[in-house]
Order: sequence, then structure tokens, then C-alpha cells
Amino acid sequence: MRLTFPHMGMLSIPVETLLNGLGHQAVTPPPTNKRTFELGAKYSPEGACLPFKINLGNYIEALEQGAEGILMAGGLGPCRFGYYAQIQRQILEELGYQFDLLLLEPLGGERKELYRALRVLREKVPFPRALAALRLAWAKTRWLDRGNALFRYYLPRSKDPSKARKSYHQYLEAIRQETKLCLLDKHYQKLGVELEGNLRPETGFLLRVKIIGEIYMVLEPRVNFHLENLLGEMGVEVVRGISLSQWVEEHLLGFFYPHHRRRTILLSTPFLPSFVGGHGRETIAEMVDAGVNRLDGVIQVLPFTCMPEIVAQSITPAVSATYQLPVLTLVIDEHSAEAGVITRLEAFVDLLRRKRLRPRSLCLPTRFPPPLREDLQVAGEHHPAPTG
Amino acid sequence: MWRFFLEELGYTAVVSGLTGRAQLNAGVKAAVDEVCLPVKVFLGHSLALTSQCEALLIPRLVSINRKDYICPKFMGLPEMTKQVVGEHLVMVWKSEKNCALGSLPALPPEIREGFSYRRIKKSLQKAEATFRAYHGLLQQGFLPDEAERILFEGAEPRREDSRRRIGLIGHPYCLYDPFINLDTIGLLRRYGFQVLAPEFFTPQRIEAELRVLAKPLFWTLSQRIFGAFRLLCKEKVEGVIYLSAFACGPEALIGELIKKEAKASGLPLLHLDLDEHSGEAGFVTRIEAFIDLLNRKRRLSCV
Repeated sequence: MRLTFPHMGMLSIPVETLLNGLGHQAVTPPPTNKRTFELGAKYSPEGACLPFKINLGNYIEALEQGAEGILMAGGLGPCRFGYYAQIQRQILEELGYQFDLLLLEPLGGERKELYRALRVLREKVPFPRALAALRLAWAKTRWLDRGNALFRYYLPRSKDPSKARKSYHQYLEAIRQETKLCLLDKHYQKLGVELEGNLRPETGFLLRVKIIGEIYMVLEPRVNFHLENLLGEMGVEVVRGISLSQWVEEHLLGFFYPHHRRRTILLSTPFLPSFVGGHGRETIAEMVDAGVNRLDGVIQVLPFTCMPEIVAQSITPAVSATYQLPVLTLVIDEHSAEAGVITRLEAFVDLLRRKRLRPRSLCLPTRFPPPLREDLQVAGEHHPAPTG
Repeated sequence: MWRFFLEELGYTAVVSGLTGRAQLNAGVKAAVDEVCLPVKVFLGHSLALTSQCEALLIPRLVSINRKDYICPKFMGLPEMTKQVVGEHLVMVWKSEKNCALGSLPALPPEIREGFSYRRIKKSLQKAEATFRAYHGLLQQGFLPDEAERILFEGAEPRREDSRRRIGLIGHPYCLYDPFINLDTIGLLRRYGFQVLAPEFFTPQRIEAELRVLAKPLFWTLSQRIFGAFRLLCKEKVEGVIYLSAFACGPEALIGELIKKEAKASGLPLLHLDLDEHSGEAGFVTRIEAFIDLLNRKRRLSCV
């Protein structure tokens, strides 16, 4: 079957590998562009959040290219992501498209739908080959995230940013094409050598800024105006806790990687003792982490009307005051323009530079951080792993 | 219900009054820009109460039915309020998953530890009985303020049945606050309509209507809105007005479902978004125009 899926950052690379490995034909939607925004905004409900609109635009563009099926994840709420697929199916059917929707629901929800999707996905190839495809896709996800971390580290330190960007894009393409698990490491080495060769001889102090917020907005560079590149070229090192592999580890393989959830709960409990859906709690946890590690600032990115992030946004002032950590909140929707974002980023970076130049003794915390709780018997523990 | 419970325990309960311009403005000023109108109003009320009392009792409504949630903003409500009221004592009454309404662990520890088990249990029972009576009245077709008057002041239950009926759906905090929705219910009554709201239907009937959905909705209030809308289609109302708050997350998606239902059943639907900038004139004009359309439809169908 010709299957398509929504974009989210580098997600298309492993998913393409997986689908092709499973004997399907992956139809990657064209990279998110102006037309995607327009199509999405035109056919979506007005109040829906930006990821919903972009996903819809991606689907329409992929269906125009001849996709027959859509692969999408589901969720249990209370974030709206869990109900995206239902509404999107209704809208696309009203527009007259013919397609089959394969929904990967979490285990706590509609199992019938999940089992059907898995059966359809797997039925073309024997089980060992399916497993091999899954393994290759997962390895690619891990290497992509590592490559991205490397690139984020080297970009503000490089002599020629455009050259660094170019070698990073070559790396992405190489990973996309690669079919052998053992060769992924080689590409990573090559990227490292290239970035190393591009280093500036001397660098003064570098600001370190963490990007937090809603996962889609953080990971999708075409929606957040290439935030990481912009900051990198301003000479700011971008730190990011949220990544694709981390999400998969936390939400799909939570049983094998319990430390992600424990860390989130431990860090966010003093400020937000309850689960609020989506990435609300993770946002607060990442921010506390940035404060504890004495980073220079934090940028929160959220789509307009995102419910969990709004809750987090109302709590950020408390975290900010406790750790003396400046925050910039960027609310993005389909009307946001690049110039406005750049101006705000520049102003924020200027403020951070000035703050850094002042002696540290002047910025003593006004409030002392509340003690982090050792016992993890808190509200969030009772909930099943939320998706989305 | 809470008033009964707290007074039984010897506290004095101060309930905030009707919403007014002052509360709204205070809330708007204190809140983050993006939160929805009800949260702003809630924060405004909390601020007004801080000057009158020593502690605020704030619910953390995570979930009242198995497998559904209310809304992320309700889950973070205590933290948002703490941000706004500063050092004031905030007691959190939490309702976790599968937690019965009047259960003991839900109470804030400040109250739970201060009194004997029997005394709390007794007060809770009394409060729950009141709560049931209140819901019984709602399901008989009384609006919340009427039901409250009957319960607390012993007013005579009195209702006027009119032959013209109009449905009003939306979240309860939008429907029953005459300040937020600019007294839509009063306006409709003046036009001689009997207003039917989602709270008039029993949960069992609403649940039965939800079976048509491919995937169950996981927001309790949205379930109620959608189920009530389908019931209203069957109840032969003339039209339905859907009041939603601007930037309300679930409603953005539910609105789409409801629009489709309305198209399928041919029921006139007016969807109104509320926010702090809603002006009464614009609002009334739209409702009047809708009523005119309903009248016209009725005339044409009579001829």
C-alpha cells in the first residue's frame, strides 16, 4: 500500500525506512511549505492548534501525490492530539479523498484499532524482516538525534555556519539512504570530522539556551522558523531535552526506560504536582533542569491555544523567579512571521549577554528553590503513559 | 454542596458572588494571555475572595468518569491560582481518576487532619445528599440558579412550559454565568422560548447517544455537549445555540463534529464564541437574527 504520514522534524527518515522495509511504499509528503499552511488553515476548524492544521496540509499534499493510506498515532487525552485523527478523517472524507486510516493507538485505548493497524502494516513481509526493519528505523532515530546534538554543539562554534549546515544536511541525506545498520556509525564519524574541521580558532563565552515546549513545535524546524539554526548563528548554543528518540523511549518503551518519567516527575513536582496532558509537565521539568544546570535562558515554544502548554506557561514565572532563569515564550500560529520571531530572539539574546556580563553576585536568587521531593508517590503515577 | 460540607465542619464559607466587570478585568490582568475566558473569570473570583477569607478551596478536577478527563486547564488550576494569589493559603481538593465525588482521600490534608473521621464522614454524606437533590432538580428542567434558590431559600418550584423550545449547549460555566454570556438565557426567555440545556438530560441517556462515535471522546464535558446535541435533535427543538469560549481546546474539535451532525439532521445551529471583548449589542443582534430565521422557518412550514 502507498502509505503516508505527517511530518515532525526528522521523523520522515525513520518512518520511510520502516514502511519501505515492511514492503509498503512510503509517500513522504512534500516538506512543510507555505501551501501546506494554507491548505491546513483553510480546511481545519479555526480554533484547532497548529500541528493539527499542518498535519492536515501534509495529508492533502500526500494524497494528491497518490497515497492510499495514512499512518497516524492516537492518544488517550486530555491533549487534543488523541482526537486529531478522527476529525481529520472526517474533514478529508468531506473533501472527497479515498484513503485508509491506520491508527496506532496506545495500549490503554482502542486495542482493536491498534491491532488492525499493526496487522495491515506487517502482513506483507515475514516476521524476521519486519523486525529487522523496525530495528534499522530505531537505530536511525537514535543516530539522527545524536547527529543533531553534535550539530547544535558545533554550529555556534564554527567558522562558516553555512558549511556546517551543509555537512549536516549531507549527513541527514546519507542516513536517509542508508540500508545497513552497521554503516550508520560511519556517517556520524564523518559528520564529526567535518564539523571539527570547521571550528573557529577562538571562541569567547557562549550562551547556552534551552528550548522547551510542545514537542511538535520544538522538533519541526519548518514550523518554528529554524529556531535552532537562527540561535546557533547568533552564537548561542542550543540545548534541547526533547527529541524523537527520547519521546519513543518515554512513551512507547516506558517499561524499559523508566528513568525519563521518574525524572520528569521528580523535577516538576515542586511546581506542578499533577499531570496536565501533553507536554505540560515535561516543559516544567525541562525548565527546572535548565535552572539547576545554570543555563543562561529558556525559550518556550507552543502553538496557539495549546492547552497543556498554557498551564505550563502560567507556571513558568515561578520557576523563572526561583532559579533566576530568563524565559522567552513564543506562541506560534499560521500567521506568525519570521521577522517578528527573529527580532524577539535577538532582543532576548542581547538581554542574556548583558546579564552574563554582570558579576554573578548581583543575581542572587530572590527565592530559594523548593527541595526536590525524594518520594515519587504523586498524582501522575496513577496515570497510564500519555501519548501526545 | 461545598457550602454545606464546610459549614457542617464549623468553617464559614464565603462564596464569590456573581461575575462582574471588576472580577473579569482583574482576572484578565492576572492571567496569561492565552488562557480561555472561564479561567480568567475564575482567577478574578479567586482574587476577589482573597480579601475576604483566609483560605481558598480549589478543586483539581482531573477526571470524574473512568477513562475521561475534564480539560488540562482544570488539572493545572490550583497551580495557576497559586501563581496569581501569591502567598495566600490554597487548599486543593483533588479528584483523581476513578475517584468518587465525596470520597475522603480527595479532601485537602488541612481539612482531613483537623477533624475526626466520623464528623467528616457525616458532613460528606449530608453534602452529597444535597448534591444529589440539586442534580435531581436540574434534570427536572430547572436552571442552576433556580435550583439553588429552591434548595437554599426554599422557593416554590415553579416552571413555565412554553411550546417553543430552543436548545442551548456549551460548557456549564459558559451557559449559566449571565455575565459571561451576556444573559443569553434571559434574552431567549423574553422571546418566549423554553431553554433546554445539557444538564437537563441524565448521564445514562447521554451515554447512549455517544455510541455512534468511532472513538470515545475523552473530555467529559464535550461528551455531554455532543450527547445533548443529539438528544436535542430528537426532542424537536426549533434550533440550537452553541456557546463556546474562545481558545477552548476541546471545543475547537467538537464544534466540527457538531456541525456535521447539524448538517445531517437539518437543525438550525448558531455557534457563538465568547471572550472578554464580547459586546452585548453584537451578541444580541446575532441571537435576534437567529430567532428571526427560526420564526421564518416556522411560518414557511406552517403555510
